[in-house]
Amino acid sequence: MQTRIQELRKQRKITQNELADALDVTRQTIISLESGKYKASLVLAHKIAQYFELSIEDIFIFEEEENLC
Amino acid sequence: MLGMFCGTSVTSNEEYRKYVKKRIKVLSLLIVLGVLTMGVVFMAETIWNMELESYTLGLYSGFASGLIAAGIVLILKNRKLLKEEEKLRQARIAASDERNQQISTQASKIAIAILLIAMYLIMLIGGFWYPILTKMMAFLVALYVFAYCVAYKVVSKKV
Repeated sequence: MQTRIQELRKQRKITQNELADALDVTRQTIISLESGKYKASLVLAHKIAQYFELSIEDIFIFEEEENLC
Repeated sequence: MLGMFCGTSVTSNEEYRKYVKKRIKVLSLLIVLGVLTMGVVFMAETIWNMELESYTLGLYSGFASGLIAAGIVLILKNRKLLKEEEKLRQARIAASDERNQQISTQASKIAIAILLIAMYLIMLIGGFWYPILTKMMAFLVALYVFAYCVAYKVVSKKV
């Protein structure tokens, strides 16, 4: 799963620390999310979507096998 | 690094403060356990008239003082946390961070697998020299399987 978190964060000139603080997670979690090493839970994905005022699908790019069809 | 069994799902500093206070109470059990260990050694020597080897005595005293020291240090660390709001917030975030919790769960799974393999090897090889080891290790493996099954049933009812 890929994410657009880094792209959106840079667009809005937000640091990883600021995003981590806003989401109540560690900076390392943001780093792992951005690099695609860690998959966010539904709650965290929802928080991230709310933070960027977008939908989950706009931020998280699911691989083919992760989709229903 | 997140401590073992330290994950929580609290969302505010106030909730985390209560959690830390509870943790301090649990940590005081370490001191109780240390004192109890010292008491058992003392009673073994004085009341039960057992002549413990100096190695065994040193080992038990080491366990006891280690438990007491660990308890005191951890209690002081947690008390200090309660006094500093920013450090409390950072500790809360580290403890409730879902990635940290996932790492902790995976690390526990690996550690348990290694422990089970080690116990099986001790049961298999150590039993040649000390047959009691075979019984002890077999009992511990059986206890683990039993505890897992019970815990699985209990947790599955909650989730």
